[in-house]
Amino acid sequence: MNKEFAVSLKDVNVSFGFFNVLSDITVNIPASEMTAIIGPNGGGKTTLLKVITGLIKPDSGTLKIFDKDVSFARENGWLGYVPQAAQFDHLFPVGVEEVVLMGTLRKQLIPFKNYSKTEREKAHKILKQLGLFELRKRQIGQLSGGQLQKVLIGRALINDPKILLLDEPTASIDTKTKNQIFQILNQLTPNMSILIVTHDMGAISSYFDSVACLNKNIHYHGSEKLTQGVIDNTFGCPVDLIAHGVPHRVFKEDEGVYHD
Amino acid sequence: MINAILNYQFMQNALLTAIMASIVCGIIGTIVVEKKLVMMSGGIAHTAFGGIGLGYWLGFEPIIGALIFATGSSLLISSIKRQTNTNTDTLIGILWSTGMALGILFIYLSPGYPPDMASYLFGDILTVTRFDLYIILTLVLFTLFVIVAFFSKWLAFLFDDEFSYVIGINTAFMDYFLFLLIALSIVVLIRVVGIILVIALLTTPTAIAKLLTFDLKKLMIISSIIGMIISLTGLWLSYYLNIPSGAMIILLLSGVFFIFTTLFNKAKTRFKKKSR
Repeated sequence: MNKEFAVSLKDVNVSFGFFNVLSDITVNIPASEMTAIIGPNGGGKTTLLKVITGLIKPDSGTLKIFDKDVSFARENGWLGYVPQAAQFDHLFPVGVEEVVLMGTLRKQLIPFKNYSKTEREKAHKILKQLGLFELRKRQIGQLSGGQLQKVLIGRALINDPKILLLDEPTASIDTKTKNQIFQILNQLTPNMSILIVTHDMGAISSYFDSVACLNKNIHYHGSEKLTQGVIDNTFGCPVDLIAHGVPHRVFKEDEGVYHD
Repeated sequence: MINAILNYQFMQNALLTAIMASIVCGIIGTIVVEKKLVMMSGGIAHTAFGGIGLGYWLGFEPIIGALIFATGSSLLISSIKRQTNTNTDTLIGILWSTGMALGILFIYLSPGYPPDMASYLFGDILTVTRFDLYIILTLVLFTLFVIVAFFSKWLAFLFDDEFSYVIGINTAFMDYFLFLLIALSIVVLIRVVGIILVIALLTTPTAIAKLLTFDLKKLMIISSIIGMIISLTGLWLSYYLNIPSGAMIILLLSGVFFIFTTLFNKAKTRFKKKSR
């Protein structure tokens, strides 16, 4: 069975100075599925997301987004990027609604262009879905960590991207908000390809279609059941695994073919 | 003073320059404060001194030299920051003193009696010429157009340049352009308060405005208005008290800032006590 791939990486290498962060990453991430990237700190998870968004240029290797170059994908608004909320300057003077509206911006330079009525209505709709409509006039510094995270998700979603990339959306967030975020992603994006960097092993079994384990090299598993051996390989030390009930499928890396 | 404004062209020039400078301070100062580029602005201002010296040495308008050096150094900082891992802070330190050293060298090389550098170091708004004023007016209108016309893009870029890049916006270009705008506005401000006092004029109106609002657009507008009121008052006071205008404006600005912050802190503590 020939399947469409949202992201195809082939022999991608990234190094910072003499330090190799990603080596020979070859992976095909299937379209319209929710894929988790797990791995230890310093394993290159954020770097991988930045390679896919074009923020980091790999030293070698090729990257295709739905068979097109990254720059093509960026300029056509195919990519939705949700960075780590903790990195933000929380005191930046901007309101919630404006942040969400930023997602509608494009490359074209049109002087005095304001957000259109449809764009504003869409922002309101998304804010309502995220449960943030009442907070839309707030400055982002007056939000909690979880609320800011949801605002950033809204900013990425307003674009209707083909691929949504999230960098630890549930880091330092309580369980209730965490589940809420995963549910929102599940409900709002039935046909979107989603790639999430997460440490949240508990969520993997209940929300994700497939898992990729990353520690410099990739140990991709499609929807194969995660075994303790694989996890140990990735993390280099035993890690508790709470995944269960994931349908069993095999994925052959070298051929890049996906079959049931 | 009204009489002086009506009768003397230098007073008209000074008045218009003060208004123009306040607009620039409000817009660019807000960006500088929010993106924490204060030291960089100081560095660019001092590097411009090299250009002023060059102007005196080779006999062209010093403000043109300042313009060349300021834009050159800002573009250099921006491109080196992108290419290497050299700490921007360190780089600013190097450029800062190199610019000053070049200025001193060029002035030493200039033939004849050494020119009066005090008006560039500490600013003298009363010596602004019509030519200066035309340059300043052009720069201000240019800055105003670029920021106002593409405001939503600037806001997105300043808030999160990585996301802006991912949705297809040319952030490298915006980065260069921002540095260019900062350099241009510093040249405007050098005529008003001089190289050494530029930082105060960029930061203080925004610092005061930040007590009043949480919105970038309002911050820009309010700090422009605060800048206008205070610089015109400073000009008026310096005219009557016969004090250097640059120093007067800065002292007024910081005075207003300290009074405002104490008042706001008092109001806050009182509010907290009441709500208890």
